[in-house]
Amino acid sequence: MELFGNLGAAFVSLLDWQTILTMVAGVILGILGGAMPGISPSTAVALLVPFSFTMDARLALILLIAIYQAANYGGSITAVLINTPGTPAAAATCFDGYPLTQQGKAGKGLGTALVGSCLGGAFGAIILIFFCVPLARAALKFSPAAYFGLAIFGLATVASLGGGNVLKAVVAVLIGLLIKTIGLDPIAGIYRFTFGSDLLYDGFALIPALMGLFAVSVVFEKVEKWTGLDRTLEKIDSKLPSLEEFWKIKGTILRSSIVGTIIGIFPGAGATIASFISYDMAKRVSKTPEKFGKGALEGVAASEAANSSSVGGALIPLLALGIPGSATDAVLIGAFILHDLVPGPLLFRDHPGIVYGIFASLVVANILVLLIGLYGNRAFIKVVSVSDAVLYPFILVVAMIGTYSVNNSLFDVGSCIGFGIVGWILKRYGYPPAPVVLGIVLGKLIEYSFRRGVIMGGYAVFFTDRLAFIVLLLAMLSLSYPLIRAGWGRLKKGRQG
Amino acid sequence: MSPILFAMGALAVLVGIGILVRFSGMRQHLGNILIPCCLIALSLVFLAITFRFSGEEEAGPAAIPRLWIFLILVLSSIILGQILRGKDEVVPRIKRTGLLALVMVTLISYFLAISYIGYFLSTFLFIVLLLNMLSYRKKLLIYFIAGGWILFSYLVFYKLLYIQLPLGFFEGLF
Repeated sequence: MELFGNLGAAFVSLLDWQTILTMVAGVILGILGGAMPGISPSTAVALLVPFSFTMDARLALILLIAIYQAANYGGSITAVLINTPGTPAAAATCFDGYPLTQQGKAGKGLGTALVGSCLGGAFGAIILIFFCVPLARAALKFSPAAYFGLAIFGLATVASLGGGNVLKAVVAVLIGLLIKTIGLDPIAGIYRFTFGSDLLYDGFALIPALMGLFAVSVVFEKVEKWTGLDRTLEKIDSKLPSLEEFWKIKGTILRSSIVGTIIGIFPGAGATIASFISYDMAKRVSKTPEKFGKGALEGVAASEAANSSSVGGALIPLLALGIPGSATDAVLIGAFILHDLVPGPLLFRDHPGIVYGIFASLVVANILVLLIGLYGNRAFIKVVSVSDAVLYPFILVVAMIGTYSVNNSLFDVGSCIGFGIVGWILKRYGYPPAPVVLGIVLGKLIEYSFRRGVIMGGYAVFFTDRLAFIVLLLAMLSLSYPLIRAGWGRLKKGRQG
Repeated sequence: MSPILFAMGALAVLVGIGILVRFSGMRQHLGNILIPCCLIALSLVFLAITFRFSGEEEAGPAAIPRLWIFLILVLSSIILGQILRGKDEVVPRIKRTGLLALVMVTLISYFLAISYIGYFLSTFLFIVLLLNMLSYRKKLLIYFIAGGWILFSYLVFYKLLYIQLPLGFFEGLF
């Protein structure tokens, strides 16, 4: 009952003009950010984090979460219209969305994506509400050793599920963790790796790292492949699917929402994997699988419902345990830290208004996405047509002023450029930048929990504490699984050859 | 040995490896090889520094950095081994090297110029330069875009949010 009481109060608190305007702004920015190819939800949220600094913490987090949720729908706009996913998670939407546009049914594609996104997002939000509170309550009893194990498990799954070379992803995590050791030691109080510079006494701030790795490096990556060609979005028909057509895909939306939410809960799996698995599942159970890839509404709905519902799922470990499940979650942790808040079980005890405000706003954000998407698609398409030659300089300028504005520090701006260059180099050679950020975000928690655990119970604590032992074992398994799978594949190939 | 000497030695070794790979049959793997080598060199420098941390008790200030360093050393060595055995993909060459270098240099110059000529002028010049570099066709619009951003940042960040943007030589004017 306490849950419903708090939730009711949170919904009522959303009814002031400031909060509504904040959510509307967040949804519009999110849809636009998601729709711009090259700007992922994490980049869109990262670019806005510093500007939320001067806002009230509750409003700031509501704004960023609205952006996060709406960006997942935004990605489908260019996926449907020009076969270019605005976000990686919308890649599966292209398979059936673009054929619909080619058939002159872009309105049906966009309408299905919109409804699928909103229903999926709302489903994820409801699951978040009912799972997060009991999990956070249980987490209050966790020991430092268990926290260390959970954080390592989070990092390990991110590294192993991130795709590509697992070893390189783990190295990327370790780079982030090592960067976080620069500055004042959290327990002994001595300075580490500062090279005598007082600028490094507090280590590298999180915002420059976020901006550099998620925004600046993206611009370098795009410039590296610069063609100078602009996106051309033609006029579209705006005929939405009929109610009968929507009714036919209800099962697909529900199934994909469940899959998306469950996948979202696991750190590292995220929206992209969720949308591909759901698309595949929808094709397998469909009565007309031959229509997939040729403009099936089910295909669009499956992909969009899954990627939007994964947002609610991914917020469960973030809010209940303080462990980010995705790159965007890592950025959100930066926002929490900026407002002197620590996500995790204590947040539920100390700041219930903020937690329940996030829950309620996530539900409302989905309704706003539906309304704004229905009436604003034409305007979004116009804005998305902006030339990349204008977009990229603006990403850089916004990243620079955003980084500077948090601490009024030019050192932070220099760090941001440095992180941008390093991030671009690492990405070019297969080291993903998102695990670096996760390492930086979780570094302090991991070190603090590890050392407190050892001080309290010696190194044996990681074997005697049952939860710590189990999650560390799971972390080892999740890291070794892709390696074992690759080795097994090679062995099979060798036998066949 | 002091960490600075150690770092210089590591840098010299890295340059040597770079030259060696550049003129060998592994030329197309130069970047792939240099990254784990750089990580190993940096880790060794950091490892050397950890021996200066006071407090050698259980789980002291050096414990966690050494753990990460050890893992980086092991994993980077494995990656290096994979590359030398030809198990890593060749990364395609940068298509627009000149443009990318120009954008990077402009960004760094912009950062350096902020302290001297202030945020507003340096940002105006940066936007104009970058839009020209990226061949934005509407030439007149470039100045309006840059001017529009300056006006927006002055009103929103400087006046409304009270962010103390650096003014450089123009400090007395505002």
